[in-house]
Amino acid sequence: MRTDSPLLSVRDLVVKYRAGSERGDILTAVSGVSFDIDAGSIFGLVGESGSGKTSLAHSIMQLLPPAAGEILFHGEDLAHMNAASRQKTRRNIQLVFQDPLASLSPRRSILQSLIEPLDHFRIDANRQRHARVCRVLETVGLERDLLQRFPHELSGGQRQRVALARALVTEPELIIADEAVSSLDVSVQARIIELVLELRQQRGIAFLFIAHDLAVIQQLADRVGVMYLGKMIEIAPANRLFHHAAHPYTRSLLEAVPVPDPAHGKPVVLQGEPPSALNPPAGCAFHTRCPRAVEQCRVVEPPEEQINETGEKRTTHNVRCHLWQE
Amino acid sequence: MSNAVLSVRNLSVSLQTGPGQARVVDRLSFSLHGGEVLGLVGESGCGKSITAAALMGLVPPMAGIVKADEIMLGGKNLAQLDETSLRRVRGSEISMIFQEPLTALDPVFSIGSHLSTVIRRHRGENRRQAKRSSVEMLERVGMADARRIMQSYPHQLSGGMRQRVMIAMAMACRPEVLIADEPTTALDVTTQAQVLEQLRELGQSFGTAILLITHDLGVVAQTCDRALIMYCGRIVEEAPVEALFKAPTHPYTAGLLAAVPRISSAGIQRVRAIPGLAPHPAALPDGCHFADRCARADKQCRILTPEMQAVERQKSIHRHACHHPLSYPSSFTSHAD
Repeated sequence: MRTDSPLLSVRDLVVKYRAGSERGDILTAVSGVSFDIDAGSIFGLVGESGSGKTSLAHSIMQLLPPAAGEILFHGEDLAHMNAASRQKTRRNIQLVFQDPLASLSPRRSILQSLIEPLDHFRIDANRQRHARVCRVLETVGLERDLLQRFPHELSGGQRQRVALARALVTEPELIIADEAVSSLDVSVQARIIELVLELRQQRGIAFLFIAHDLAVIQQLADRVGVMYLGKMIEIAPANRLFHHAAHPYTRSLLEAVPVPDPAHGKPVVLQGEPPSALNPPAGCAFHTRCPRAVEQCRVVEPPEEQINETGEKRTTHNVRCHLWQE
Repeated sequence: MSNAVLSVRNLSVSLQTGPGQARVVDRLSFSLHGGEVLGLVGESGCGKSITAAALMGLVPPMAGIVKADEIMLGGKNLAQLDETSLRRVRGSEISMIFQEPLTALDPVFSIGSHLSTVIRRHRGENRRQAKRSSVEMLERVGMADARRIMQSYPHQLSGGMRQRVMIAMAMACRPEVLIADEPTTALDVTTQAQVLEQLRELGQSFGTAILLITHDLGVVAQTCDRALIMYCGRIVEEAPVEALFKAPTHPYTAGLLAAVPRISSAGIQRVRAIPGLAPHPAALPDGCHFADRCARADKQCRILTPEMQAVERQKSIHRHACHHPLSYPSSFTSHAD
C-alpha cells in the first residue's frame, strides 16, 4: 500500500457485456474510462441512462469483471489481490442503490439487515453488534424503535437512510451511491444531501456519487465526470465544470436541468436520443446530436485533452472534443 | 381567464387503511382554465395521484369513497355520471398519461393497434382512417419514423418514445382536459425537456388544458402557468407560478423551494431540509397539518384548520390556507395592494 496514491484509481477501464439476439454481439458499456478519487472527497458522475455509470460502479464493486484496464484501491489492483485483501477491500467499499425497497430484504427486520454485513465480515462479537448498529442508526438520524420494523413499514426517505446505514456499518472508506437520492422527494433528498456532506466532513468518507441530476451533483461534488455512451467526455473540478463546461454535451445537460424559477428562459432542448451502445457511431459518439459537429467529428474520435494549466492532477480539466477551443 | 373547462368543488377521497379511514384528499376545490397548464405539486403521499384517479372516476369503490359537490367538465357533472357514460368521456373529453408508460401500454399489442383502438372507439373511424390518424398523431408528437413505430411493440421503444406514444394516444381525440401524472419523472433530463415542450405545444394547438401532477418544482417553473401546492390532502397554496416562486406565502411552499437544489453560477446555495416528517394520513393532527413542522406555528394553528383565502396581487389571484402567511417582499408588491 502506497500512501501517496489516491484512494481509488480507475485506469482505462473497459466493461463489456454479451448482448443482443445475435451470437457474438458485444456491448461496450464502459470504454476506456480513467479517473481518481482522493480520500475524503466526493466525485460526482453524471450522464443519461445507458451511458455506463452503473456498469462502472458495479465494476468497482467487483460485481462485473473488467474486460481491460485496472481498478486500484490504495494503489493495489483489485484484480491481483489475494483473497484476504480482497475481502478487506470489499468491506472498505460499499454500495447504496437507487431503490432501497429492492435492495433491502422484505422478510428481514431492519436490525437483521444491518447486522448481516457485520456477520459477513466478522466484525465485532455478537454482544457489541447491537450497540454498533444503534450508533450507525443515530448517525443517519433514525430512531432505535425502527430496528424491529420491516422495510415496507418505512417511508422512502427512512428506507434510503437504512440503506445508507447498512453501507456505513462496516466503516468503509468509499461509498458508491448509485442514484441514491433520485427517487426521493425534495425535502427528504435535501436531508440526505446534508447527511452525505456531514459524513464526508466528520468521518472523511469518500463518495462516488452517481446522479443524473446536475443540481444535486453541484451540492456535493468536488470533482465531476460526465459520461456519454461509455466514455468520460469531460472531467473537471466541480466549480470549473459548472462555470466553464467545455463539451457541448455537458453544456446541453446543464441547459436541460429545469430551473425552479419561472423568470429563467426556456431551455434550449437537445434533440434526439443517445445512439445504441451496440452500434456506436464512428468518430465522436455525440456527433449525431451535437449542434456544432463538423466533418472531422464524424470521422475522427477526439482524444482526451487537458484544457487548463495546472500541475496538480486533482484539478485538471480534461475534455474529449475537437472543438473545445471555439 | 375565467372560462373554466374543469371545475372541481369539495372533492374528498377516503381510503380504507390498516389503522382506519384515511382522508387522503380533503375538500379540494379548483378550476382549470381553457388552454392553461396547471401544476398540482406535492410530495409522495400528499394525495396528488389519488386526486387524478378520482377526477377520472378511477378509484375502485372497494378501495375508497369519493365525494364531490361537483366535477364539472363541459356541462357534465362527472361526479354524477354512471360508469357507462364515464367511459364515453374518458379518453375523449378527459384523458390521462402516467409516469411509467410501460405499465400503461400492453406488451402484446403494437403501438399502431394501441392508437387505432382509441381513435376507432371515440372517433368512430374505420380501420383505414384510424390508421392514417394514428400516423398523423405520432408525427405530431415528433416521431419522424411514424410508420415504423406503428409496427413496433412497447419494449422496442425507449422511455422517451413510449411517453410520446402515450401523449399521442391521450391527445388523439383532442380532449378538453389532459391529466399528466408525473409524465417525465422516469426520463433523463434531456428527454424530459423534449417531452415537456411537446406536451405544452400540443396542449396549446389543440386547446387542451393540462393538469400537470409533479413533485419537481423545476418542471413547474418551466411548464406551468399556475400551480396548486398540496400537503396532506389539502391545497395549501394556489398562485400563478411567477408569484409562487418569487413570493410564496405558505411556509410549506417556502420550505419546498429552499429544499430544491439549483444550479447557480454564483456559488452553491445549500439546500435546507424541512424538519420532521409528514403525518400519517390515518392519523392527521387537528388544525393545520403542517403545524408540527412549521417554524411559524402557534396554538391557533394546532386547533383551527386554516381555510383558503384569496388575496389579489398584481391582478392575479393568490390563495393560501395559513394563519400566519409569509408577507410579500416589498419589491414584489410595489404596484399591487
